[in-house]
Amino acid sequence: MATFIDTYRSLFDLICVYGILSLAQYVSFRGGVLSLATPGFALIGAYAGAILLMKTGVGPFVGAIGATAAGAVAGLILALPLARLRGVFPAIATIGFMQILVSLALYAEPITGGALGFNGIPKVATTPYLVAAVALVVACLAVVNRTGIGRAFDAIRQDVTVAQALGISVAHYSRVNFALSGAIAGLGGCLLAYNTYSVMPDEFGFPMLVLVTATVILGGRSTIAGALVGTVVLLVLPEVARPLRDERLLVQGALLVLVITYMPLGIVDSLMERRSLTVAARESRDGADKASA
Amino acid sequence: MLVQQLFNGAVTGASYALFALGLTLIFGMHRILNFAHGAVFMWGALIGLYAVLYAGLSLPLAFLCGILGGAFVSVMLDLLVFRPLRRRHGDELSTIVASIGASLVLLNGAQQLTGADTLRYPFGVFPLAFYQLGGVKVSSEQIVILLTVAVLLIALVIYLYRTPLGIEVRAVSVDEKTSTLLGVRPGRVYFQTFALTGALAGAAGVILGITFNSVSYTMGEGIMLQGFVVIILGGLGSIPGTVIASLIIGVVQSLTVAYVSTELSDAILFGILFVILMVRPNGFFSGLHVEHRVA
Amino acid sequence: MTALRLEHLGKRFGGVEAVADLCLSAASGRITGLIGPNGAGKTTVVNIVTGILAPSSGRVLMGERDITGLKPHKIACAGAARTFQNVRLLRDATVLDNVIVGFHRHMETSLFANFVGLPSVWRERADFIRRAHAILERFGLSDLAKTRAGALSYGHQRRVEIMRALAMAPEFLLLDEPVAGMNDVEAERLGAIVRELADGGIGILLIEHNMRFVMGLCDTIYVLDSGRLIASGSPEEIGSNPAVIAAYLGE
Repeated sequence: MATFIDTYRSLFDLICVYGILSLAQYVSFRGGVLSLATPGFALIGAYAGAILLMKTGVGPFVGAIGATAAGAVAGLILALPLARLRGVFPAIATIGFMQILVSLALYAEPITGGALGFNGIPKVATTPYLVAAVALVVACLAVVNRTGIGRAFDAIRQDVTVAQALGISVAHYSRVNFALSGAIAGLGGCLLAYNTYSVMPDEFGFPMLVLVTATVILGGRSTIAGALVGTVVLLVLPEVARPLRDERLLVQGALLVLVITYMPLGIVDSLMERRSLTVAARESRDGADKASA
Repeated sequence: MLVQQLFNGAVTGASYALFALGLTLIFGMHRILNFAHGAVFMWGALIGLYAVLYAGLSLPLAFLCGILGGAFVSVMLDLLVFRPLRRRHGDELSTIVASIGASLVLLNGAQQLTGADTLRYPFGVFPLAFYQLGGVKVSSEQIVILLTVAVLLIALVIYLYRTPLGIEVRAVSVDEKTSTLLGVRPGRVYFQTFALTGALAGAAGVILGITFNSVSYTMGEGIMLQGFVVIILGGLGSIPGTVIASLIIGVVQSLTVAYVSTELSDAILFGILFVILMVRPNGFFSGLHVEHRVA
Repeated sequence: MTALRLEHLGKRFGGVEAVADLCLSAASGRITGLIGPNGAGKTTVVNIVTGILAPSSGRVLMGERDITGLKPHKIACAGAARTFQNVRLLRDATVLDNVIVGFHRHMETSLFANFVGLPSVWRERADFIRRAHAILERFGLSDLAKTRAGALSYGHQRRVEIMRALAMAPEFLLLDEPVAGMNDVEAERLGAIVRELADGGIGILLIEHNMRFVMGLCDTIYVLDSGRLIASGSPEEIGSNPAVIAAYLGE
């Protein structure tokens, strides 16, 4: 394991960073919010982290916390117009949000460095820190999923009308969802900046959107493990199969189409479903006999 | 100067309308937000350009090639991507995801063909002449574009509202189940809408390829974003709304580039999108009932 | 005590009066029926009571509280539970989780506590799970606790939906055509459950199309036709009311 990590350290780092970004996207889908704002939040986190570290002289920890907070605040603000929208509207609006941020980052050169971005950021987010950050996010989401927030997310995702009839405020939990997703993506963006020496606006456009969406769809939308497995698969695949590297777009695109059509639950969820179905089939056979008796 | 900018913007906006109509019709009729529509547009532009560059066709014939090419790509998209998904009752998220995936595949193909280069039409392919009309300089190119867009729009409206095929298309958009019971074959309807909207996107591709004299595999991305703003402003599914919104967006863009800044033009465009979503999420010309707001 | 009272309720869609001047009260511990032929305005009443539509005129009172025009989740929090005409469960969740989500309005822990997982949150969760199991047991469905709700038979899904409503510990329960698609045996079994709930003190409003089921079960019946109340009273009175018979035969 140790030698593997040494050989592929930069790939491993990337998996950690994108794992966090994918988890941010996972939160949106899990909560039934069709938001594609992760790259936008990541951009905010990356620039916030870079500016805090390089221009204000605070340490990397404070920088990362600041970036996370900035992402959360951005989520809350974005939720103002979007928390009440359903269907495809949040998707369109959040793509617009991403585009606004990219063009602002290009425009506000004195603060952001324009198209060249920030360079020479010290590499403070080394592998152990990244692993710790992933663990922290996973732990936080594991708690959220088991408590009232997760229950509300599940209800809203599956049936908005039912959720309301049970007393769940859809607008309220959509705001919570945006803030949580924003915080996680802000942290992920900051770690990207702290790990790769630089931040550039172009990093946060469609390619990132496609990647984080693809990882969640591929891995599975309803479990934490799904987003992580999807990230590993999508980032490792081009490394192990060299020819795929030049056809990255083709592979990602074809995978998206095939998975969403033929395995809509994704890898992890499909496996779990299969297992729970066999268990449930047995239980419900026994159960139904008793219940109808 | 201002009037000139308004006019130039309106001409560009008219071409956007061809593109955005496809986006809005596919959503209005089939509830599919087609992220691959930009790739169809790009392929139309590419096919039109190749027809001139390598087949040596005249511009009108190349235009026709672009239209047919767009229709073909679009129909393939429906057959290979959306139809399998329909069979499995995909929801809104899955159609969005599948169309993003399809657009990556189409992008990859174009990239293989063109490399990272931006391609241009040979000099003088379009005979340019300029006319003064009440202080506005109008080029022969702009006149042809406006005429072409007008003809295509009229053809679209006649098709949808005056032919039996168009009536089937509209019937399915209102209620797919009932119209199937009444003998309408949905497969044929999907074929028509995708062919039609693909043709419009292909036409828009060739026209905008000539207008900006630049064709590249990334050209679909930008217009996709403008298309989103247009269809929200125009109201998802509304034909007149989309045309008016396209003209507005074309003008706004031309004005911001001229008087504010090129970098900020995207930010301003999407700022408008947010304001509309906050004030009138149905757009200003809503043609359909769209259930999208919850308490 | 009245669980729900409608006072001069009216709803117009454009020029059409879907419901006009409807007065109705559903007592706690009683089963009140609201019947009428298709298009009588029953669904409009359901939508107004549950907050999906705002009335054009009149008031909706729960106990002494005016809930007219409140958002659906506020009405639910105030203690009104409902079931749906076509059963609506969280199909991908287990039966147990479907019941647990019904406890939402009794959540006392704060958002922050839920984020960081304070001990109070886990205590609450354990409590919800225990109470959900108790409800499952009462309905004889304990063995299906871990089954995915979407995989259940129709009759079982109906029961899970009622269990979920029960988890809300409502003061008032609205049942929207609960026996639609059921045979007589199943309907009778469901009727016994509903009677038991009413005996427990909940005020029940039963919206129904099936006359036989309503006649056998309700304490009081209101009859709606073309948006207007044409009769109200005990099942015997309704059964012999010429206006009611005309409305149903004329259907």
